[in-house]
Amino acid sequence: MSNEILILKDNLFTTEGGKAGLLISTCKDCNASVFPPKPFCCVCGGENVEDATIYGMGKLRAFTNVYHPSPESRMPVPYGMAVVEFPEHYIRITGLCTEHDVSKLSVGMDCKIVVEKVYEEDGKDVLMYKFQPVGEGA
Amino acid sequence: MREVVIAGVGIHPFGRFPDKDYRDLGREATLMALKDANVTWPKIQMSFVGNVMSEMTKGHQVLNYFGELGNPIVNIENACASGGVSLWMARNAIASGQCDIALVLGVEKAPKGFIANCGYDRWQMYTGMGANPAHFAMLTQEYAAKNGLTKEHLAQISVKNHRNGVHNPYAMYRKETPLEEVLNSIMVSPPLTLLMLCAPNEGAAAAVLMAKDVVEKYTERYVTIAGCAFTAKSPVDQIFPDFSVPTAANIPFVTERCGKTAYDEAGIGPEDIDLAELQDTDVGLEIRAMDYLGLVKKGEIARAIETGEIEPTGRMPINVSGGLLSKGEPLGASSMGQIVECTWQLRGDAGPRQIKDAKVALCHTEGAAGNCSITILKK
Repeated sequence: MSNEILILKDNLFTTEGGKAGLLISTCKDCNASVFPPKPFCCVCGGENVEDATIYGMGKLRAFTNVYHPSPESRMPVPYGMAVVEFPEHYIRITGLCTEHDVSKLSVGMDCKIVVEKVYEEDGKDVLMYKFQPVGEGA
Repeated sequence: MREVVIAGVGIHPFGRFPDKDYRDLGREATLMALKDANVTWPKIQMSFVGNVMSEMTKGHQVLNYFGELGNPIVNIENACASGGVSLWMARNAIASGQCDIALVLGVEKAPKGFIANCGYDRWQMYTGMGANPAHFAMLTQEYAAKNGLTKEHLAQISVKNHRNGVHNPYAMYRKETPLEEVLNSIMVSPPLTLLMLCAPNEGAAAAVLMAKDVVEKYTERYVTIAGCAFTAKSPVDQIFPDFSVPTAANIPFVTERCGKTAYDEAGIGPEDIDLAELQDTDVGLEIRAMDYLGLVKKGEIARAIETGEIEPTGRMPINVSGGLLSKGEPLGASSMGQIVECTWQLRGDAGPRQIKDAKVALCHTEGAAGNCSITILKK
């Protein structure tokens, strides 16, 4: 039997229908996007924004890993982190990366969005979005 | 606006001082600055105190020891730029005529290791994404990849700053670190090794600011604040705790915007700068700052590092004090440490670190939430 799920923050990601997606909002006037979504545009200040979900592939722009636990982290080390760009949504997003071995990564690789258990707390599975590089060598 | 000058500076060494309170550090730097400016404490009409981690009314706790003047003491927290923002506020107060003489103090007693409380949300911290060095690493990795910089180029910045720090009696690490030592030190977050990151520590630095029209009553050994700017991040700056950047927005990075304000105010450009102290929290930030401030030609950063252009003997000496990599980073005090160094350089008081004929110097600090302060001093 699988554990109960613990969501640390609403409005970050979705797993509805078994598909992992990131929640953003995009300004219909200036195309500026933000993650997690907001009811206004952080660039032009307008309220003509539309919520959207990113399901598609992104491009790996930057990556690293963490060997030493940071303040209040519950994560086992090492783990990967990455910045991934989604050009059709006009946004770059920072997040965890499924691959922590940076020798297997290169800028420009395709990345898909996954939602995985990252640690367990009080018998519950804590879920978080991650980027999974799927290009050659990943 | 009235012209504003730095009439005197003081510093407490940056390092670890288990037997001293932050108040002791702040008072030592303040006293040194008062003496250097040839003023006594009751002449100070306003005080601006930059600090990140100490208690409530920290500035009052440091300064009231000298006597409770009943004058404004403003306590300022703006991450690594706290000291620079304090200077900016003091400059503004004098320039606008609110007062003639003000004290600026940066002081810090930071614990060892990771800096906590950097503005992250709970979900970011619990899942390990509140790791500052990882965010620095990704900015540096992307910039290096785009600009053809190798790990050796990155390491060379640390080698340079540690070599410069050997000559600075106020620095924490006064030992050269050869390239191999930098590259082989503990890997923190690739491409950044331990010796490519600065260490939070303790220290204090201060300056007495005066209106130019009163300074000559006290001292002739002053330097002029030619430009002074403070800017926070915009959405395009990929700086924690924000986790997204809108690629459709066309806004220059925070360093570039802050630099432009300071250059415009000073009526000069990067070609007029003789030396610069740039925030080297990690080696990559120093490199990006020299690029975004136009101190080194675009696309020629690798060449500048290879040819010694940014060494003390080169065309554009960067961090001749040893930078934060050798001084350590007492957050609230780091900006004012740069101001002390550049004031000495422009007065010809920098001893073995002296850059010959230095006439214009630039100080840059940048930290959490993209708080960026830039001050241009001239002889």
